Amino acid sequence: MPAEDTAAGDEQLMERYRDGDAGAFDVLYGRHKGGLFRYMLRQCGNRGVAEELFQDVWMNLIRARASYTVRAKFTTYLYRLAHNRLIDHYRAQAGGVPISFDDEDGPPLDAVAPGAGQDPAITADARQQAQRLLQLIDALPEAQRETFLLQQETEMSVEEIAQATGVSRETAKSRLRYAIAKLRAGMQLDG
Amino acid sequence: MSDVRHDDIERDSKLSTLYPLAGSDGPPPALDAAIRAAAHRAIGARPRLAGSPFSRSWRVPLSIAALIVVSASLVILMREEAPEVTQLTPPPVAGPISRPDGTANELPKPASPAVAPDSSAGIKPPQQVVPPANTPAAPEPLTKRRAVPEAFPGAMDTREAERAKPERPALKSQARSDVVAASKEASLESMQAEPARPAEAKIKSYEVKGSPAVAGNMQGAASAAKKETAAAAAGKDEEFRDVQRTPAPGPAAAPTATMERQAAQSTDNLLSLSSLPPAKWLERIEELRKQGKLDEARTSLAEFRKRYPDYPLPDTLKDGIRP
Repeated sequence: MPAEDTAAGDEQLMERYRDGDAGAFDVLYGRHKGGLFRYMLRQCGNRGVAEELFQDVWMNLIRARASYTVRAKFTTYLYRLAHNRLIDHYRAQAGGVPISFDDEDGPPLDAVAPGAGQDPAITADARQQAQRLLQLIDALPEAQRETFLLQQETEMSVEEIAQATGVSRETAKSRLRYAIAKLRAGMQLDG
Repeated sequence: MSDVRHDDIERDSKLSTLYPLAGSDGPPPALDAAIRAAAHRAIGARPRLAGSPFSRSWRVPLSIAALIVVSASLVILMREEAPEVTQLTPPPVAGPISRPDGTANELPKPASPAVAPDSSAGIKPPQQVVPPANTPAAPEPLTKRRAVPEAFPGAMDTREAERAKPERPALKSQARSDVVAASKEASLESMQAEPARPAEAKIKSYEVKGSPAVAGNMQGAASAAKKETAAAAAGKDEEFRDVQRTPAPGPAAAPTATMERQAAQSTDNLLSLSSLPPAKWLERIEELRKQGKLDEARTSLAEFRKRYPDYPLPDTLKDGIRP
């Protein structure tokens, strides 16, 4: 991989791919495939479905390359595509789009039972704690979970998360607060 | 953007530390490859191969080297096959044809300037079909076996078979050129000054000269050659007549057409006589003499002497053809 590719920003790489540089796509894909896949996997909970959604997102990006212009961070652009695909997926399900995406403040903080976090085995090993964290993340409402995952996987700001998920900054901030509070309570983390 | 960062919720450091430990799931390699391939196809490029830098850097030189090797092999192979390709091309009709006995340069000289353009087109005969002059009579005198690597004996047989095919037109063309030259000379009555070689000159090429051991084969080879020549000439008579039937380009060509018709008739007679046994041939010559066809009788007698120099002549013909 050329050094210029590794040093280039995501937006620059996407522009180069738009202009016909196939190698730029490879760099971009390598940077974001893990985070996007985990986002999909943890949002839908099914590996097969996650792979399908993951592929759809990248194919949408490939198809839309010609009209790509830098209006925001590439990560925001990419996860906006992912969020839209996820909403489409929810709509295709029997339950429709989860109600949490309409709830500004989300469910109350006690939605996640703290009892499970008292298992001494979780604190015994960091990996076990991580698995517990995944369980807690999975128990979060979809909208809060999405916000937390975007923060962890992409290191986007609240503002960028709001852009990617199509909500106001305050909504995104509220969701994130709720998510973090529930996870901390579930993990029995102090401070 | 840094302003936005300041406004962000403080990240929970403990959660952020634990989360990466939860696993680094990723898409399967097949899905990776499919997406990359789709992205490359979309812009008409080929995806980067995951080969090592060594293989990438040597791919082009190795490809060129392989191409050179294959090309060189083909050139060498084609050079080996080139003589056969040359032989497979049909020989020119009017040009001198190589003879198995190496008499290509002994074609009859034109007796008059009027026939000079037809007697020889100046095309050199292919040298590879000319066997040595002292080659003994053999079942296949027309072909000369070329040195072939021992590894391809079967291939040589096939080549011999293919080479034998184009010899037929060559033989016919040779007979035709000889016959035309001889008949023109006969019609111009220039035979006495310099007897032209008729079609039988080719037949001599099949005969073995100066080899007592193969003397017994002389008659058989000669008769076989005569039959072949007669068949070739007979097969080509129609072609000759077709050619001669073509309309003359102008009034000046009329005498030439007449001469050619006479020559063709004389040639027919010569060919028919040459196919006879010696005794019968002499009888026909005697008949011609008695019929007053002295020129034809002389021509035929001259050919007879060439063919059978030691054959005893009757008393009436010993001193030549006299009225």
